Amino acid sequence: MDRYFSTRRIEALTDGVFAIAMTLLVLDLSSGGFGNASSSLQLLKALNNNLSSITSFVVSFLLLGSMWAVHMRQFEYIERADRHFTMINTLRLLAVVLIPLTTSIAGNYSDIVLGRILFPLNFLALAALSYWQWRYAVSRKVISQKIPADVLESAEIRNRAILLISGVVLVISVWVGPIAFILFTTVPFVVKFLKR
Amino acid sequence: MTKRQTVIAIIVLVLLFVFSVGFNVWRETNRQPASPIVPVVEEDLTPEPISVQGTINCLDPKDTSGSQVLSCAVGLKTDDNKNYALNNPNDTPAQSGILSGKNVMVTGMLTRPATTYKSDGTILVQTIKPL
Repeated sequence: MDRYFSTRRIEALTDGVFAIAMTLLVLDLSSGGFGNASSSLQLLKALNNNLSSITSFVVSFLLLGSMWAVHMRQFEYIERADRHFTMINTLRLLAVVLIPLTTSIAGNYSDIVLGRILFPLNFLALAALSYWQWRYAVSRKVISQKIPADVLESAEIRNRAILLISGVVLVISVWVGPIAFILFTTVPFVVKFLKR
Repeated sequence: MTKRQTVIAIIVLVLLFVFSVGFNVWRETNRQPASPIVPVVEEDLTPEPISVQGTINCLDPKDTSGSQVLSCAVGLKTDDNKNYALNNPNDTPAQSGILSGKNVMVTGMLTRPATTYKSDGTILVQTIKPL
């Protein structure tokens, strides 16, 4: 017989993990990596040399923030959890805590193929797990309360758009590195296009 | 987006990804290794390795007259304004520019200064650790 639990503890753990992962991102950007600049021009040059790390940090922070917002929206409709649902959430958090590591690799090893693809692969896994958890919750009516049809449709389209863009970013990252992450900003437009 | 369109999109993305990774890994493994900046002279080596802290940068050429080549001779600028050429026979990350502009600790053998660049010596690099 299945047992069900409150989602209270899951939400608390998830918020904490997202908060720590988002904070850890900045550690890779300590000013020690800027060398011993003694003029504004040298500091600007050092900042330019670290542009790849800075770009990766900003993109990762914003993406983690948006994935937390997705989690928050999903749990507005999820009332209870079972063992499998908890396990999917744990896997989702694993993908979250790996983001600081893969972001650091993307910033420091962007001229190596593996260094270029680990972050987009990590994010694709996070998006896929997020989608999987939502589908699981929806298919088990006991887990989700009655969700309005328009919310269901909107969530489905948004999840698919995020997965599609993540896949495209993964392919383009192989060629151009972290600059491909800019494509994540197209998600709202893709959502709008898919809703037509 | 229909189920058929979704499946086609996934297949196309997977094929593109496999091709992209395959081609770029092939290109990466067939990249020419960078040549040493100066030839290593065995008798110039110190008996013990030295460790120097500084920032990875490009060395200035001694002769600035005439046309300049847009290549970077990888060097290390220390806190006391000394410049060392870095000789990396094993193609360490500094040679490929990954650590450019970063504060590092370099360990290696100190040899004579580079002939064509302004430096206080050439370090035959054994390890480079980002700080």
